[in-house]
Amino acid sequence: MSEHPGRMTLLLYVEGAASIDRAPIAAHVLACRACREAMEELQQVLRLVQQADVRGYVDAPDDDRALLRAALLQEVDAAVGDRTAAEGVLDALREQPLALWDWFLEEHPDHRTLGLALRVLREAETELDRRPERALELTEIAERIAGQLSDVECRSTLGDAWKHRSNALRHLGRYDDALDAAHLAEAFYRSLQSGDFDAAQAQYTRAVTLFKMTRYAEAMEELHVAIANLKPFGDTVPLAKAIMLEAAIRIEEGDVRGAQALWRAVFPLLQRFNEVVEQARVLANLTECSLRLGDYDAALYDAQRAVHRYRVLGMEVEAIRSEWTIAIIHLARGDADLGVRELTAVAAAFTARGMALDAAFVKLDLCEELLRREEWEAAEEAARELTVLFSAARVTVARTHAADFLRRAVENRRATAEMVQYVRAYVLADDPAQPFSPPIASA
Amino acid sequence: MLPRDRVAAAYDAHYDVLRFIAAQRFRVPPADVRPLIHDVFVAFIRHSAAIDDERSWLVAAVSNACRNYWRDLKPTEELPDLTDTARVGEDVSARVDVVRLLRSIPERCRTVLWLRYIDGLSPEEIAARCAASTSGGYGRQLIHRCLQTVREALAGGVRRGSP
Repeated sequence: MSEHPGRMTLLLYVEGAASIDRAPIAAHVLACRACREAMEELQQVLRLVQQADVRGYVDAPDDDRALLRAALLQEVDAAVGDRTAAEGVLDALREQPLALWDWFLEEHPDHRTLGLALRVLREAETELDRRPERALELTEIAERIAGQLSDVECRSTLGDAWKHRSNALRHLGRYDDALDAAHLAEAFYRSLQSGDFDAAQAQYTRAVTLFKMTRYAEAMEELHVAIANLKPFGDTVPLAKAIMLEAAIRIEEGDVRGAQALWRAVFPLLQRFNEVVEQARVLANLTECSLRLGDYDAALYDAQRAVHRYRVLGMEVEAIRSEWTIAIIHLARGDADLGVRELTAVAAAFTARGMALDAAFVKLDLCEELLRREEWEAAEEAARELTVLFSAARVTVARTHAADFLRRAVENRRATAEMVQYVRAYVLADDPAQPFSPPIASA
Repeated sequence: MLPRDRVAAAYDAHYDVLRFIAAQRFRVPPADVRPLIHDVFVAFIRHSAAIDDERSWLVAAVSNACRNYWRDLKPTEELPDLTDTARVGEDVSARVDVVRLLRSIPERCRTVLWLRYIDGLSPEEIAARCAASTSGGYGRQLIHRCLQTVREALAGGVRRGSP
C-alpha cells in the first residue's frame, strides 16, 4: 500500500474489522511513522473511552458535591468558633483546682464541647513531662466531656483520651496500664470508619511503652505493624515519629549503621513539617552514630548543626550538651588542647545553670583526658571539683564515695584514665544496692 | 494557608478521586458515599497539620473507610486489595481526568462512543439508534467524528496543562 490509509480505515483496522484487507495496512503502518503515530493516538483514545468504570462515573448523577462542600466548610467554621470558645473556657477552668472542673462543667453543660475536650487533651500533652499525674487527671476530664458528644465525636475523642492516658501512665512508670490504655485507644479508633490513621498511632504509642520497658523485640514488632499501617497515608508526622523510634530501638540493639540510615532518611521529612525541635534531636543522634562509627568529620558537622538549632529554639541546655559532644569529638580525633578547653567551658556552663551533676560528668571526662596527658596538677583540680559537684548534686553517699576515691587516687598520683572509666561506669549505673568498691588493681 | 482555604482546596482537588474510589472501586451505594467522604474529610481536617501529601492521605483514608464500611456490613466478603495507595491514587486520578474529558464533549458523542465501545453495538445499530438510519457507513462516520472530538478535547487538555 503506497498511499496513507485514511483515519476511518485506521479505525477499522484498530477495531479488528474483518471487512478490510489488513495485511497491506499492517505493512504500511510498520513502514510509515506518521501512520503509526496516528494509529497509536487512535488506540489511546479508544482505551480512554472503553473504561467501563469511567462510564459509570460519568453517567452517575452527582448532586452531593456542592452540598458536601458547603457542609464541610460550615464544620470548619464551627470548629474554629468552638476552638476559640474552648480557650476562654479553659482560662476560666485554670483559675480553679482540677477537682472542681467537673463541677464547673456540670454547672455549664453547654461548655462540654468537642473543642474543649481536644483542648484539655492538648493541655494534658504539655503536662506530660512536668506533671504526668495532672496529665492523667486531665485525660479523665476529657473522657467525661466526650460522653456528652455525638457518637462519632465521642468515640474519636475517647480514642484520643485513652492514647494520652497511655502516654501519662508510661511517664508515671505504670507500663502495663499504659499498654492496656493504648489497646483501648486502638479499639475506640477501630470502631470508626475513618479511624485507621489514629489506630496506627495507638499502635505506635504501645511500641513506645514496650521500648521504655526495654522489650525491644516486641517494640519493633509492634512498630512495624504501625509503620505498615501509616505508610499508605504518605509522609506524615506520625510516620516520621515511628521511623525515629525504630532508629532508637536499633541503637539500643547495637545496630548503629541501621539507626544512622533511618535518622538520615527521616531528617528531610522533619524539615518539610518544620519540626525544628525534632530536627535538632535527630542531628544530635546522628552525631552520636558518627562518633561511634569513628566518622569524626560527619559527627562534628551534625553536632554543630544541632547546637545551632537548639540555640535558635532557645534550648540552651540541649545546646550545651551538643557542645559537650563536640569536645568529645575533638578529643577522639586528636585535637586534645581544643577538646580540653571546650570541656572546661561546658562544665562552667552547666555549673552556671546549677546543673551540678552534668558538670560533674563533664569534669570526669576532663579528668580522664588530663590523666592521659599526665597533667597531674590540672587533673587534681578537676578531681577536686567533681567531688564538690557530686556533693552539690546531692547524689548518694556511695557515688560521693566513688568520686572521693578518685580524688585521692589523683592526689597520690595512682590514678589512670581506666580508673576514671571505672568510676564513671559505677556512678552512671547508680545502683543503690551496689556499694562502691575500688577497682581490683588499686585495692 | 487558613484551614478553611486548605480544606476547600483539598476538596476541590480530590473529591472526584475519592468519590470514584468509593463508588466505582468499592461499589459503595450512592446514598452511603456522601457520609463516607464526609467522615474522611472530617478526619483530614483533624490531622491536616500532620499531613504532607494530601492525595495519598485522602486516598488511603477513603480506601480504608470503604473497607471498614463493607467489613461492618459483610464481614466475610473479600474486598479489593488497594493497599498501594500511591498507585491507586495515580490510576484513579487518570480515570477522573478521563471523566472530566468525556464530560466536556457533547452528550450525543459520548452516547455514540459508549454504545460502540462498551455496549458493543455495530455501526449499523448505532446509525439506527442515533440517526434513524440503517447505513453502516453513516454509523462509522458518527463514531469517527466522535473519536475526533475526544482526540481534540484530549489535545486541548494537554495544551492547557502544558507550561
